[in-house]
Amino acid sequence: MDHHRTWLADSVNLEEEARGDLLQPFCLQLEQKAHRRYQLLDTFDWSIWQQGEILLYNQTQGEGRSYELWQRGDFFSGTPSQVVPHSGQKHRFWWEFTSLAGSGLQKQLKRSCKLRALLELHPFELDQLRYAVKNEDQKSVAWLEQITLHGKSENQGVRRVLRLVPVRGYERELKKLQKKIQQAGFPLYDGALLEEHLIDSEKFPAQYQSKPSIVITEEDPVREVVLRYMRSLLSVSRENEAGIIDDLDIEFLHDYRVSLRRIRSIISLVSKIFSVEETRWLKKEFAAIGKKTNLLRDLDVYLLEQENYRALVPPVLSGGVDELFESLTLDRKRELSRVRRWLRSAGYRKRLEYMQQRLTGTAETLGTGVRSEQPVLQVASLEISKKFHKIGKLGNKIDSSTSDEEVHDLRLECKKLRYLLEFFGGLFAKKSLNKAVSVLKKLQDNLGRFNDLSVQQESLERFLQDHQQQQSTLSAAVGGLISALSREQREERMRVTENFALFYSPENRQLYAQMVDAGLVNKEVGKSASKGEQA
Amino acid sequence: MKIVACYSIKGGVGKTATAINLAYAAAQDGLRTLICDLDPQGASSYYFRVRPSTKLKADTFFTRRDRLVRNIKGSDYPRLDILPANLAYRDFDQMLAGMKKSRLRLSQLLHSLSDEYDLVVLDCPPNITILSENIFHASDQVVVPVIPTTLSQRTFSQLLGFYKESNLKRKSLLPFFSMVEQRKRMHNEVRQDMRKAYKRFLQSEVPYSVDVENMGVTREPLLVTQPRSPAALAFTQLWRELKQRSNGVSQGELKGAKDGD
Repeated sequence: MDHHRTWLADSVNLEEEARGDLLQPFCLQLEQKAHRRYQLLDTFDWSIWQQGEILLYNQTQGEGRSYELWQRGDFFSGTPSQVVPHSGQKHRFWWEFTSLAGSGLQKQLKRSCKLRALLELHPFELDQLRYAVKNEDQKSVAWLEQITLHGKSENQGVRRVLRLVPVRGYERELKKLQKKIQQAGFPLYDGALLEEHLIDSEKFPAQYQSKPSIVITEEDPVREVVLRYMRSLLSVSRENEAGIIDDLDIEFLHDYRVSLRRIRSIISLVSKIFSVEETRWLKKEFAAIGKKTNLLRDLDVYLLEQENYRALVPPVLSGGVDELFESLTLDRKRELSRVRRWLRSAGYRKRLEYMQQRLTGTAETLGTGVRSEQPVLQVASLEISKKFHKIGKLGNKIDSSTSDEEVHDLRLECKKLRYLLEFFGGLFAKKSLNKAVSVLKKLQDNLGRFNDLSVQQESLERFLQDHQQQQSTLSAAVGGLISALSREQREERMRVTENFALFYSPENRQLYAQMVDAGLVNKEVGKSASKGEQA
Repeated sequence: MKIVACYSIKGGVGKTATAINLAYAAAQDGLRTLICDLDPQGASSYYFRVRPSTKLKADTFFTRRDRLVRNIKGSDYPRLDILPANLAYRDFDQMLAGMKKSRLRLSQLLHSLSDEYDLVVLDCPPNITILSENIFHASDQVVVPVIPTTLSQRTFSQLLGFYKESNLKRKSLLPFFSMVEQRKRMHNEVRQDMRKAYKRFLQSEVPYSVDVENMGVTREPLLVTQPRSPAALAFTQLWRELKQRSNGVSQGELKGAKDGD
């Protein structure tokens, strides 16, 4: 938007006001009156918006329905970067845009939305009045547009601007007009019209964050920081409940579970900040809640693997794979309604509300531990250092003869270190932190794939046992899958040693040592393990 | 970028009305269009309510692209711009005569605008001069309005003769009947004669119409004020035919000199 030619006009309506002398000696002649109805589409976490784009469903009567993709800065003053006609049922996932595959829209949505569904986030309307600004020859020397955004009702979140659009060769006239509008008292506008309208309508773009970021300073008492985290995480969980119940997409459940898992981790990773009894109670409660959705998440993951599984077995067995997935789909349906009932139940609601109250309560409510009041930097540095060297010890023991169990243990410890870096990352220099995370992430991805493959095999084995009386094609397909997965798993296993070596390299040890140095009271903790390493 | 000239040796044949409505139809069709009013009388400029430019001098017209571009004005219609007439155009010939490659100057100049426009429509002054030769060289299509009278028949032959003498591509010369009055016997006879004699005559015929004459009062293209009138429909048809021919031109060129007349 050219901000020298756009003015805020919230209190004026050119259609109603006497506009005769606004631009004298030029006069205004109405050329076009347009009214458009839009639905803003985006994922729950506003991923399209975050990419700097806007996806709209244009449902203006008489225009033919269409999807419009806009660059955010172009909205209403430019033209959409893509317009794809579409009527009929609205699409929810990028992969449903098959009929529009050639348009490139599908590809762009795939990049932003991933597994998330498109939701109708906000309906709004746009009224556009376009006047020709005429000189004494009745020649148009500029266009004056009045653009009004409002919600479903005409007075909801009203935002109005005036905008001068130049006509080539009439620069002098344009300058005069700019001056006249300025003099009439309209304030120059360089805001983002749609965003302001959304906020007025209490829709907050990109407010939801699956990983809450909270501001912490080195000296904050650790217990207070942890409580703040737990509160934010718990409310992230709760924000996802409705999406799980409505089964909008599988990321709601995922985010719900991840937040709860983060809460459990922080409780056990940062010990001795609540009283012993309260800590035990918190752990028990959050574990119980998390467990309730294990099966549903597992089923979501299997169903996601559908295409991969198909590629793993020979075509003769594909009928068996179909059966497997039909059966899994049924299981999921059953499991979903169980989870729904649970989330809707008064018992669940009351329990969660009680937890929230406990977390917001005063310092005394969860008791105190010996470390409650220690500065967060001190506790964080110690825990990160300890965890880093613990992984070092575990990893050093791993060779080709180590059991899978020990590899899984390594994975769990890495995950804990990752959480620590996430929770307390704000305390450390960004550059070192990013480096630390990226090395860790590589090892974790490796271990994660290794784990997924073994979980998948186990569950397929269970499936075989549960369905022993089934036809032989199904059993053969499942058997084939298991052996293919086991092959892949061995390959992942081979990469672990290599990735671990990078993680526990002298360079990375140095990085961690420097990172935690300022916060360590007992400097020996940081060194001890590196000594152990040299031994 | 394509260049289409509206040209006639004879005045008062509907040349400017044709230029304006063709340019408007093209812009509506999605082409970024520039209409150049090369006639010092400035009829096109008048129709578009654009005052003639006073600053542009004949010599800078051909030598200073930036000055020329600065004189381009937006019309009241999307994608349609106009380069208004200028009294200095009267001196074009004198000025061109003193330049090297004097017959190719206009072509060079217009092609320098090819990143801004898809189509340039030239509204030409009614005479044969060095400027007209420039126009013939520059244009992909030269559209010639012909009133079906014996007098027009004669001037069209003169034009053909000039093309032959000057070794210009006669293929680009596209006459059509303008201001046709079905009631007049002479009009019908001349149309038949001329179509027989000159195969490249366009099929579209623009009827005589008071609406076209009224354009001087409304100062807007007929396609804007009376889009359903017979003359407006004929202009639209004419634009479509030119577009088809334009696509066909390359095919014609491929066929080569076989039908060279």
